Amino acid sequence: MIPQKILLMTVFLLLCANLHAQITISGHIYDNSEQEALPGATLYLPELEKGTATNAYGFYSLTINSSPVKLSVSYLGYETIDTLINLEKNKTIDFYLVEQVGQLGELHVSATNFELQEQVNSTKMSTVNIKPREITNIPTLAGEADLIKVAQLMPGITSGNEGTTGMFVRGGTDDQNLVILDDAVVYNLSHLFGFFSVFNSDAIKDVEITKGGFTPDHGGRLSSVMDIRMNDGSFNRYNARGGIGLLTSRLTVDGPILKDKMSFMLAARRTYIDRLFGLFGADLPYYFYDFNAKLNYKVSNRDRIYLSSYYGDDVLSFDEASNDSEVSEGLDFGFRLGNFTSTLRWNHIYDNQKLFSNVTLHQTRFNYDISGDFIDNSLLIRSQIQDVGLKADWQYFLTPDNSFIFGAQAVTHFFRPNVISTSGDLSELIENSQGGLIQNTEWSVYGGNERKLTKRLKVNYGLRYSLTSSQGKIYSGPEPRLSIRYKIDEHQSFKTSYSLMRQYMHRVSSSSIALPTDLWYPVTRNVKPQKAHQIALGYNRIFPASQFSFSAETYYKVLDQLIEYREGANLVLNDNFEQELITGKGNSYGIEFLIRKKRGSFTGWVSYALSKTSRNFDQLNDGNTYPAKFDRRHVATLVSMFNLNERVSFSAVWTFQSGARFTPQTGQFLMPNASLTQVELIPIYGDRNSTQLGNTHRLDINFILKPRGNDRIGGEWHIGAYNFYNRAAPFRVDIQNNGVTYEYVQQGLFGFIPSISYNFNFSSK
Amino acid sequence: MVKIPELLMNLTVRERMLPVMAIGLLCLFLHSCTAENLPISVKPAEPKIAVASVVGPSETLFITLSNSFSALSAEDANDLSQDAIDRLLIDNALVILEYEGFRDTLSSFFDVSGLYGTSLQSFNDYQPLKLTVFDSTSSETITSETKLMPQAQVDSIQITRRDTSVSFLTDFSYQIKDPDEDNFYVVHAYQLTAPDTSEADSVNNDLFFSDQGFLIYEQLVTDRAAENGIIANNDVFEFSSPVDSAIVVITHVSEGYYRFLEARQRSGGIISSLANEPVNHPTNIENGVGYFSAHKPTVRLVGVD
Repeated sequence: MIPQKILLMTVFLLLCANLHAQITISGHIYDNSEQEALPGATLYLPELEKGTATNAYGFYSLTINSSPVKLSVSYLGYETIDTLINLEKNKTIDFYLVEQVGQLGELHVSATNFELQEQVNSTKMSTVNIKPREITNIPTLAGEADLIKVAQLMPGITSGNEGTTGMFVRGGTDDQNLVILDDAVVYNLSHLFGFFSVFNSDAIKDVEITKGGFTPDHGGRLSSVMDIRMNDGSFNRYNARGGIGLLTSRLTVDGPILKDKMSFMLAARRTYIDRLFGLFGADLPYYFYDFNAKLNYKVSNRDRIYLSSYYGDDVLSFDEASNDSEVSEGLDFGFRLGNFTSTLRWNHIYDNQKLFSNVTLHQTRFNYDISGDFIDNSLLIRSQIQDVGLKADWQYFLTPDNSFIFGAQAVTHFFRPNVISTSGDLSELIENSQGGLIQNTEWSVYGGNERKLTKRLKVNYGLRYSLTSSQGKIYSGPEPRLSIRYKIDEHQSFKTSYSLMRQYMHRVSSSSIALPTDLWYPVTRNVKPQKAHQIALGYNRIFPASQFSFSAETYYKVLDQLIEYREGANLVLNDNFEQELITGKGNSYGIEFLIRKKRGSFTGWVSYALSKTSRNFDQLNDGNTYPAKFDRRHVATLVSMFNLNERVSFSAVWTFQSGARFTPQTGQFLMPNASLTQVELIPIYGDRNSTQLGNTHRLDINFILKPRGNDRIGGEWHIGAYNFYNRAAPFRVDIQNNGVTYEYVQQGLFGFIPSISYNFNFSSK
Repeated sequence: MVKIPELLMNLTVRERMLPVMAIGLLCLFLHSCTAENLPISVKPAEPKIAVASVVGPSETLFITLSNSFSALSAEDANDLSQDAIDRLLIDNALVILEYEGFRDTLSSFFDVSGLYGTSLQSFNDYQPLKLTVFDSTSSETITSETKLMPQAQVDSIQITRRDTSVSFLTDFSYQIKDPDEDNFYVVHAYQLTAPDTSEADSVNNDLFFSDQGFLIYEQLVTDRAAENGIIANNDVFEFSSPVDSAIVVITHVSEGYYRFLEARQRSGGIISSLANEPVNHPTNIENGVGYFSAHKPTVRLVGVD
């Protein structure tokens, strides 16, 4: 016993001695001019070959054993700070990085790019970041800056039909993406029937998309996490920026309410499609708008409170009063589709400067209303989902080589699908229905540890346990997460990951196209949670001299309890639509390559993804496995942005996608009616998704011209073209009469579309 | 606020024409830049023998035989001329119905192309039936098996006109005695276009051969909602004109045939059509398409109260 006690005491003393020698510096890294916290900024100790990065709130904590020590602080698009840390005790140090302007990025490339280095050092894989500047500069449909369209250019993320905001990540479906805006889930990502995303690029600070190797603090969806952060607002000056485009205009203002203590950000956007059509004499009483608002209060150096909100609506309203259009004669018809999110967050840094907490209270509401009036009849169909949730996270930065994360989350969902209200004779044909409130709560607890085991080996392991109950049935299960990095040398590493994800709610759609009537629906006694296992293996290499990074990743994903609907299902006005749902399996595998350059006068990326995705449902395709609708075998993207000089930039995007899948009608036969007096034609279809639409390739371009301005006033013209060489991107196959006979035709949606827009910004001081 | 039309009114003709011409040129430019549709090749389905079965007056089983054809031949039945339909119908096929060791060779009915028939009156309920068709033109043989479904035990049927001046809305209720096993039914209501007679069979004959009525209501019914062995349904439909009576046909069908009819109903849905979604029709025909069903409909002439 005595030797054991001596041994324990020796270990304890050594540990204490070690702890005494340690010094912790912590703080935030900010943009110098706006004082916006910068998430993902890196701090690197070149002599010790160690470093860390700021978390999603711009906070860092770095514990070092010796002092003085050299420290480099860097962030994409900002000047690197090289400094000497000479401390005897723990200290809070905030760093303020200065934004690079013009082509300075090329000139100020340091010998080692730490942000690039982080790609080799980190255990993170299958993750891409998108910066607001990329969203603004990359050409898109009608010149409208669009986050989702930029995300679709990343390997492993494919779009649905042309021009839409559907995202299909590594063989997943569109509803398997967790999209959070300041921690609040956004259910409906699109305006204008799916053609524009709900995110105003001026209000966004940072976007991170994770396709695999998930960390335990996120869950609830199978295929991806898109974490979007809104701008906090400047603490020290007022800014206004906005844009006037062909279809929308937007304006964002931010600034201090209490200097260095409290700031705000307000952003608004509205389309004028209704007015534009009016100019051409056509009546399209449709418009959308959205607002983003944020309040940021620095209570103390250790406490900060954020309040943020998003509100957006799509409105279509034909009514008799509008004008003399054909539709308006005696018939009023319209729909309203709305998202609302709000988030209250409290960040706290504990006394030891190593523990950081974030407590978030969030609310989300998404609803659609379809209404119609005809003579004395009226109809209202409504569906609504509302979430109220609480999430508490702690991050403990023990040393640069050892950090922990743990927390818990509870979200209560209130579903009210298919509320039907009718009056007049119509009420005799369609029954009124309150839709039935379905309520369930998703609980989860999680913990994880990222640890450098040796100079080469670093692991990030964790476990999430999730649980929900619905209609008396409890569903629960562990969700293990593991990522391993093996560093070959300073410039290259291998990474591998495994994750199990569970999804307790689904979007139920009557068809493969997104409709405003799509319903979000929870697990019930009969509808079980979806589940996905994913393993990935990757290789990363950086080329610091030329600022390029290269990654290659392969993955295999198995999906279970997937939800589909029976052929010909109608979910509208159907109170019993659970009977229309069927469950099945799927799998997806592929390999993705990405070469990216983030700094310099020439930036962009080249990506290629080869993948295969299949589904198997007993009730579909005679139980045989079939390709998923958006199983696009080859997807290649070339995104390039050139700063020709300080006043002229040019960007171009070329994309290639194998055609989506469809089920062709190959034949038909005669079927008499029940009294043998008439015949109708019954279609014969080929195997499900057995035919491939034509390949899609498209070039979009954008010129950015900056008139002379100054530090406080600036503007830029964006002159661009979508589908520059005017090639149809097939999205469906129809049988058409060409005047002589019938033929199959692949229809494209958008041809060449030129665009022009003007963006401006003003700053005080 | 100055509205755009008012603003235009204050301009000279030339000033007014300029924006109109500019917009016109822009429209022309955009239109000329509409990407052309791309051709696509789709492998057509091999022609197959298509079977349909209908039970008519006096429990006569009618079987129609035709050849399936290319999806590019017609958009709907109205595109097909009578000649085209006649070419698709299969004459002179050898059609054999087998039951309990007996073989009945079905003859062409009334010399109508593609129509073969036999009486089900002497057959027992749930009698297994096997259909074999040999088409000498294509040298194709198809087979199919089914069971003769018994008559639905219809308890009551009531049709009551609503007291409304703007429509011919009608309440429709019926009750069916439902046996223990899982059962499936099809309910049809026909509005008559000819003067009513007092005999259901007679009117049924008119429906079949004289086209003197048309379908106004079709409902597929399962016995999931049956209580104490009774299916009691209430529904609403609308006549196109005031009538005194209607024909109601309630048929007890097999689950397979029910699924076939369900697919037919679903494929006509607006969302399926808009989204180009396939709805496959199940078949019980080996080497062919369509559905072979044998059943005994209950036909009632119902007065409208």
